[in-house]
Amino acid sequence: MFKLSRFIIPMIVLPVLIVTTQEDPTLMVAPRVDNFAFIENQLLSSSRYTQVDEQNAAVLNRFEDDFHLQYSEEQLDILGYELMLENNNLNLYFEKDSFSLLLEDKATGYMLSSRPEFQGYSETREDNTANRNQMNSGLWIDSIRTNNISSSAIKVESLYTIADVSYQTNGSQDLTNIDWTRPYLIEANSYQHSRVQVITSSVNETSFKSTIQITNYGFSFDIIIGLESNGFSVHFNPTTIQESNDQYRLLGLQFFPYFGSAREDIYPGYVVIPDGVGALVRTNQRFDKTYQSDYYGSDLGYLRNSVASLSLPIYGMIHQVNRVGFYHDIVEGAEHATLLANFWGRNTRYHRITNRYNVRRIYRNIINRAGDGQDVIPAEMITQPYEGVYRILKEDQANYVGVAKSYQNELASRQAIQALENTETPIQLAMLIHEQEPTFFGTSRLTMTSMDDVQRMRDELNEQGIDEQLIVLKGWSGDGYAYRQPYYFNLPDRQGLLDVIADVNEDGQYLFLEQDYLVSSELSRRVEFNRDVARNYSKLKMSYRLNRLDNQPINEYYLYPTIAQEKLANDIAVIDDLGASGFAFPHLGQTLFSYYDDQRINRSETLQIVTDMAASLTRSAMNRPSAYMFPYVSHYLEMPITNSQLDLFTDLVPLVPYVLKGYMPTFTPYLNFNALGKERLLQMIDFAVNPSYLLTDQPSSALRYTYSNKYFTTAYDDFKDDIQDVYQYIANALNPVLGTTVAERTMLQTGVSRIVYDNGITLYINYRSTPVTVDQVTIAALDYEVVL
Amino acid sequence: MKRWLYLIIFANLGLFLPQRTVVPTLADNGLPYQTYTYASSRQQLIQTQDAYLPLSLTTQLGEFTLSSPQDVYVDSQDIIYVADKGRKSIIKYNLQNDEAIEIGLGILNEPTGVHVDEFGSIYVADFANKKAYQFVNDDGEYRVQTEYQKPLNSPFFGEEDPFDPTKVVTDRGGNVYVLLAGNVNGLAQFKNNGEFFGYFGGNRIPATIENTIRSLLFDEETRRNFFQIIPKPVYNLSIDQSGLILTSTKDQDGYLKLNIANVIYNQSVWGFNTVEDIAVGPYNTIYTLTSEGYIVEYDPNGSVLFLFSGPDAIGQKGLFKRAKGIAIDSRNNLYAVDEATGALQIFIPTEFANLVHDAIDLYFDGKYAESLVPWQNVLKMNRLFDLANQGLGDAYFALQDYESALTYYRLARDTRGYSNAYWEVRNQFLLVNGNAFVVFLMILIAFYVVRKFIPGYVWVQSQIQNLKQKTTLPSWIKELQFPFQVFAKPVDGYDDIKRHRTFSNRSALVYLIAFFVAYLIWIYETNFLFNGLISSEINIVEQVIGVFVPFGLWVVSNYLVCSIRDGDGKLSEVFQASALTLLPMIITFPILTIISHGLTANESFIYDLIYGIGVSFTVIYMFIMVKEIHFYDIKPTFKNILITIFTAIMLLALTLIIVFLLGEVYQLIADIIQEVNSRV
Repeated sequence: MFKLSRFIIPMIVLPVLIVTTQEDPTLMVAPRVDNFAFIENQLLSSSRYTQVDEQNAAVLNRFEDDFHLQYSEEQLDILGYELMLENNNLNLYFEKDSFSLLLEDKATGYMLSSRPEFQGYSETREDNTANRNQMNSGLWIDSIRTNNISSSAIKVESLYTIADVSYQTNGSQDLTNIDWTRPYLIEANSYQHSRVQVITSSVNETSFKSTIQITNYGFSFDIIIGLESNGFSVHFNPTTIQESNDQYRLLGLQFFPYFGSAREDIYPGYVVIPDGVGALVRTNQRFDKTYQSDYYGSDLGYLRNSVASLSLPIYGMIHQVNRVGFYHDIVEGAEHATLLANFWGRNTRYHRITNRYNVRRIYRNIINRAGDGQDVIPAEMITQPYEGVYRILKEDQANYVGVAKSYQNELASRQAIQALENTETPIQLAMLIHEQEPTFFGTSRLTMTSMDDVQRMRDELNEQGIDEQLIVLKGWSGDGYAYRQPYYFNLPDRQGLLDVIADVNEDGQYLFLEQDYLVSSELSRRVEFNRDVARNYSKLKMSYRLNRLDNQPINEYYLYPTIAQEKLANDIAVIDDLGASGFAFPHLGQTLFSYYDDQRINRSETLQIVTDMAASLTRSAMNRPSAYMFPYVSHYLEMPITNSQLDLFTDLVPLVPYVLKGYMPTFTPYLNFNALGKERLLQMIDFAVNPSYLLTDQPSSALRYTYSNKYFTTAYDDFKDDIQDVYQYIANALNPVLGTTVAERTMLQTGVSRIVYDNGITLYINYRSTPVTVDQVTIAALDYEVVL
Repeated sequence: MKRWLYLIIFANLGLFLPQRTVVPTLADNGLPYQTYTYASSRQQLIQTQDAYLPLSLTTQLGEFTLSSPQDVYVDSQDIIYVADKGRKSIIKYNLQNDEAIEIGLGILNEPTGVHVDEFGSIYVADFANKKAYQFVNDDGEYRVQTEYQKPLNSPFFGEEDPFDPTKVVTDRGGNVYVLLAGNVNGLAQFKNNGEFFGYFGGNRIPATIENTIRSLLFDEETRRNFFQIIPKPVYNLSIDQSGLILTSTKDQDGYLKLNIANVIYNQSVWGFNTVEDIAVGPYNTIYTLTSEGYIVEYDPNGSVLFLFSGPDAIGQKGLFKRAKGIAIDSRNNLYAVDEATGALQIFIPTEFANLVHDAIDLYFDGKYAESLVPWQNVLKMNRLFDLANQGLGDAYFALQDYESALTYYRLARDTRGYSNAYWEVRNQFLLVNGNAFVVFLMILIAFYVVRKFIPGYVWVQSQIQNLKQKTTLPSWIKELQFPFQVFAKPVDGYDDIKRHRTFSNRSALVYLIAFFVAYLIWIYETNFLFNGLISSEINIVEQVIGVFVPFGLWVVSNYLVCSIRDGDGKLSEVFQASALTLLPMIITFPILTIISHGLTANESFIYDLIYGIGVSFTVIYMFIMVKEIHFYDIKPTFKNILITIFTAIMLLALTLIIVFLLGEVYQLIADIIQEVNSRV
């Protein structure tokens, strides 16, 4: 007799077993020891992750009830504001003597002010006249005396400071009888018009011009302010500057430094800084710190270096999350701008963020090998005009995702980014082909991966269902790889390469050859030191010794952009012949420097040259390109996975990935070197960044004696299972949301995020080591859930 | 000529650059530092996966704000203790619930060291009070139970001798070791009740040649005062799980581990010489923190596991401005204090670090076979991680798979392991093939004995004789054979060179080049057991200079000196004779290279013997050569050889000085041109 009961239990147990013991794809075997639970909590609430927004009702209500800025008509009159521009959404008030601006949103009545508001609220002294003059004026001039040029002698003064204004009151407030206009009232006739004069005139119905004359310095220039549908713009053309006094020179201008500034811990929002992948500084605590960074990386032409890397010319300030905020976008001139942010501390009660537009910068004239020299400024100013636009964000757009989306819309409308057409999650497979290893006499070529191996790896992965492959060949030239770029087209197996390219094109995939025309080194055969290496403003060759603890010092060279352009022009025909999809440039998109070539050439011209170089190709893949390169980039490689982790940052947010999500495919740095395990994969899914691997056929111990020994694990045989597992894991999450943009991202609790996409699909990510249940969805530990 | 001059000058204006380091960009895991490990195969640091992540940087422990933290300690319950000089107290902080209490307020003045024993008593070294304290927990309150201060009436301390405690540790037996600033005798040992009973762990004076000579010639007083030959004072100390004391000293690399007999048990293979603090982790791994902020983790034997972190310029988490103390909890989280920012930084290990620790745990417990899989996992994550290669070698050795062990030992360049594994492999080979080999030998011997009776042998023999008589070798081959005759009869041979010119410059050159080739083969191909050089690091230009320049100097100096001092040799004779005297080495090098592949480290005496024989032959024949070529007697020969060597050194020094001075002149011109250029 067939005993059914014997089979029931296994029939139930087995499938359960099969389902529950699915292999979790991790890049490594789990070690035996776990860390403390509270350490995990510390980690998830540190600035390596995004934090939960302020939810304390008391704090939120206090802000909404007491600190929504609103002036009545009489108050605006008392303060001297004039309604200059108006449209359906916004009123723009302007006070010309102090150069102050008020933007009123007609729908909500919320006002954004260029002055720090709610002064005197803390019942302690705020009557330092010098400070008040700086704060209450919306235009700051950076100037220097020509007979004393040094970075410590730069004077930063506002219009009120130069006009030597004094105040009627000491700026304090009687909290029982608050009059918000009190701190701004100046003594009659204390504004010295003989020193500063601002004349406004109308340009057209959406903009007006202010001519500012600073007679005691001899400066005069124009600023045009225009009204947009959701904000306002500031235009400044350096050609309007006149300097009639030889004793003073203008270095830069800061427009509305205190625009939208947040006082102490009152505003339950944050500052958005596009540092690395994106950073937030929540305006709810004292920091006692400042932040300063040039856009688009360091300008080596000035011997200036910065670790912070701002790849987008934007910043944001959210006053109340999901209610109101704004962001600023530099449409033109970002390469000469510096982002400055000050936070509440000993010197100031306000968190503020602004840009400074540098028309001149101090550089050092070096006269001998010891590095002695003196600080000088160029006689000429830059001619690149500046245009900065402030845009208001409201309701569910008032957060960093809103900043990213709004900026994305702007880029799309300018045709700077194109919509994606992928059908599946792509994966980047970089392959190291040749390297040079030291032998008896010099070096000899070492083949880490042959073209047949490339073909084999591609086919195997294709069979496993990994169809959208982005192949990047590193060291495709017989010249080797590390530090030997730009490479000659020395192809030991040309036919093999042509076959691979033909296959790739047939499958509709992409193959890029990694090449670098801008940054080279002493090992490159194609570079001639005296002719090709650029000089900086101090007329020194841009050759830098990379000192690393692993004792492989090498001189890195930066080449003249014109030379780089020449070399690229010579190679375009060759790469077209080969039929490859294009070049992958590690540095072209993120390196922007001024240089000296018989005359001082500034960053705007370099920008023109590099964008021309990129425009001359059909498509390119680039590592971390800055915004100006977006129109020419088809694949964004090496998306940063973090920011510079300054101790003042409070959150890490996916600002840059969300700007590009739905438009340009972005790829993470090689997962071979991932020491973070599953958390990295979850972050990739959270930020919608695609996987990438570096592969070779030979084990990487063969690279032991070469300069590529930093790639310490690349063997395909070691990774093929991982690639399969990781790809499936990520593709299951990202395939449903290909080609859509992000609508919203919220941290439901510490370590649990929810991303809602524009096509209605929701992703839940759980970074915790215990399962959580939110929104009636249960997410396993260190795992994700897709809700369709 | 002019054109070349201008070309050279202008071409090298580019050398005119300030050596500036480019600020490093963020590493792949988004950390502000790169992590390194030490590759024993390359004797240098290489990059590796990140081992530790900076978790947080906080200046606030509970309700207390740190002011000037000097030292940190984590006890077995994972409670953190920070000695804060600015607050004049010890802060006891529980990270889990963010609770803190302050200990020692009012008693402590400048606490610089803190340690907690297994019973929970806190030991504090106070620099200003010149005492160390023991605080015991009395129902939640801490009170002072014992004070450790300068002993009165002790032969070890005079009236004026300073007693400045900076750090303190206790061992399993309850003994208290107090580190006194500037005291060269080592750590002051106290019983737990405060009784002083001696010193421990002082540094020794390094036995360099000059120190040895000085100790022979001068008495202690002079040595101490005049030459300042005093050992360096220990700077910091720690104690590991087995109770062994570790010390670190400024200006000495890394750390030393001492056993209870005060003898150095082992030490770090590599390290910085600015170590600020050391601490031992739960797997007995050792962490050192340097004042620049570099953290180095070592395995219990002293090999470097990880090197990370560093100096901070702009306020990034994970870097230090002035690092002061480091401690580790039971799950390998690191706690480090920075005096300048007044912050406590916490680092947590990544999964990679946990993997390595797993493997080390098993490996150092002696469970080699079980450590195989963990080491393979580590190797998969980083193929260049030499400790993994060594660990795998040991694992395979324990599993008796000697061939695989050999491969991995070679990769890690572990001579001890390789030698042992090779012995086993060779043993196997001999056991298997020994029979065949002996039989083959017997056949050869039999053949030799009965050779005359083998048909055809006599005929072949006579044919060879005929051939030898009929053919005459070309003269250049005869010339090349000449040195062998010299070695049979040196006096006659060298005489022949002078009188009959039986040797020529061309052949001498051939011998010189043959020597160089043999030397190159020797340094490239010798088994790494006997060869300290890594073949890919050998710079061919350096080797050429290293061989030909000394030889040339010897020949020229010899000729110059001896021609002044009544010598009879001509330059060509000296050259030829010197070149052919290299013959023993030309023979020795290939032999050494070949046998090095068949010997283990225990048999290195064979290698050394053959090498010694070759070198001594060369030296002796060189001596004979000088004597014969110049017709000297024995005593003048010695004198002249010494003068020759001195002359050679002088020639070298002169050349270097001239090159250096020319370089300076050239730099001056380049500087002038640059300055003119920039003024214009």
